[in-house]
Amino acid sequence: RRMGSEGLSKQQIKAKRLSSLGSFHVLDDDDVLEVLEWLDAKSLLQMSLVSHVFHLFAEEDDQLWKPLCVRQWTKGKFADFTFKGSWKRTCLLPKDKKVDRPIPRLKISDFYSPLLYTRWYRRNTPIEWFKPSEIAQVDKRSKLSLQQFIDEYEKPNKPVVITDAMDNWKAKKEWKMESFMAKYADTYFKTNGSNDEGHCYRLKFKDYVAYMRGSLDEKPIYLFDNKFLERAPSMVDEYEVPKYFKEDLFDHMTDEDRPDYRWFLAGPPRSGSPLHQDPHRTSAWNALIEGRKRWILYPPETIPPGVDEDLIDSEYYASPDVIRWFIEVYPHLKDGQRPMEVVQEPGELIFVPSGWWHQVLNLTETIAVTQNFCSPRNFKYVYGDLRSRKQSSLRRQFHAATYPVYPHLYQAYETALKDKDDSESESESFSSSVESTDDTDD
Amino acid sequence: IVGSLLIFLLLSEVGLITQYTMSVKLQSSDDTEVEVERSVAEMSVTIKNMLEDLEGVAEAAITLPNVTGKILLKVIEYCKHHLEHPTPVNEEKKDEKRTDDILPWDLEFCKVDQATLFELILAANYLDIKPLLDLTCKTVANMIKGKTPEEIRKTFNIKNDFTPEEEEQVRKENEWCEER
Repeated sequence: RRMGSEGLSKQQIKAKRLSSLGSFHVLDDDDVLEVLEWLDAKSLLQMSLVSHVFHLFAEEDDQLWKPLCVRQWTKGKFADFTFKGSWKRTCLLPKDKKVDRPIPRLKISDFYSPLLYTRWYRRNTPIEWFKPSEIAQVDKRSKLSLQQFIDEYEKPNKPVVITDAMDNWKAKKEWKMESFMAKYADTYFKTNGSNDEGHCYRLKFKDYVAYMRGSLDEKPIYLFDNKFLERAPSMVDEYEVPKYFKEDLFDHMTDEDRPDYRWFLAGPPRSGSPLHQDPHRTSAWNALIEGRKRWILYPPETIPPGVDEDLIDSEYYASPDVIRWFIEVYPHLKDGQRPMEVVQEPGELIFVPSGWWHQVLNLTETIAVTQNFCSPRNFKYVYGDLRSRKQSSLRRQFHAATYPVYPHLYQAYETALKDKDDSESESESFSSSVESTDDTDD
Repeated sequence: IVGSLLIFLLLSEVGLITQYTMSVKLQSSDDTEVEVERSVAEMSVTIKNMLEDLEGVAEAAITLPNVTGKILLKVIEYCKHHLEHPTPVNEEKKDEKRTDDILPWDLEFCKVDQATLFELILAANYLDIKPLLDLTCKTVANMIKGKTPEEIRKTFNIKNDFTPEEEEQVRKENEWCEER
């Protein structure tokens, strides 16, 4: 099951499928799994006793037992499972049952499934192999003044890692897995796992750690909480927005009206986020307190390799999962297709400018905090995005809250728009382009 | 504008403007040819995408090398019925994977031999007709539920290739998982 198909001919595999799957043999492996997805736990257990091949399929933990487990142990938005080494065991065993025996595995040497093998490979391939290339690394800077940051990175819309932005944070000492376990073991945090209704469910921190340290999912569940300060109010004093990002136009809106803007992030190795652009073309900063993150970045105007152009407008993640991207896309990149890369170390903060595509792979257990913002420098992109979408209520609220404070930004925006229209419609125009006056350096 | 509109109507009456083909010819792997209304055919996302690529081509005919005539006719029967009797969209969007909610017409539709049922799964997958795929998978799932492993093997002609030791190991693990 785990090795490649050496030693097994196509005929042998075909014969095995015929006898071990019966009428199901006409279906592809993933079709068989589709059918099994409709079974309840009891029936799935029966299937694992039917034959060799059905046993292997019925043991597909991620695809089959995870949804059953979530269904079994989740009420609305709250999940109460304690991970026990596999989703199957977590689903079936009583909550507090002590697990005193290893998971038995059958060795079936006369069958090979490319699908099962590929999944095994993605779960197990060491991720330290994905070494960032030396070219096009993101700058790592320290002792940057606000003006330097604006001039060298924010105005040119260029990413940068700042290595001393978190020096005074209490979080550097306080935000460790062990201290969280001590303080917040029974506090529910939101994860990115979803229940039957498509909502993200919450787990107690101690249950999340049990999952994080016990599981081997292809796409591990991430702790991803936009309301962490409600759940753990003492965290508010333990970090502060660095000086480079304090000016956020969304601050003028109420918390109820403004879009989600800050998240607490925790995750195991192999978790992460596939290539995406942040909402409303906001810029973001990500402060890494513990662990190491591997970043892939592409500029706003590109469609990164691997991203499905047709899905960009409808899906937030229009690209394959992180591990798949590293296995299937990254090794084949040609010179013009390479991304900017960096490995972010503890204590380092990365600035992801407006519209930049980014992908993150957690190389170790990580703890981070991130915020998205609109500053005078990226205002033109954010407001441009709000105007172009159908969400007129957000745009109106944003305008109402920020126009009184930043009328000059709106005027500059309108001027630039008018100039663009004029130069596009007139074939003969020798008016020099008016520089958009959005550099109000406060 | 009125003049060109009149000309447009005249030409489309004569069938010279085939941009808006109302029917589509579908050809199976064994050369059965069926003509269906475009709206019926477009319940298959695969066919819908193919038609978009053939926009403006007169006499659009789609070959389906993976689908036999017999199965194609069944699929069309399903699509026609569901187009005429759309299932009310469940606002709650729950994905509980229930199998006890199959509509009577669908139940009858699935009363076919096993080989046909599995071929319908393959066709629904290839043609990307999600409701049909869900229905056929649910139907097979219902044939499994409530049966012992031996009964399942009999139903689907599956060989028991476990050794006694293997079977015992799996049985023991399952029982331990289920005990309270």
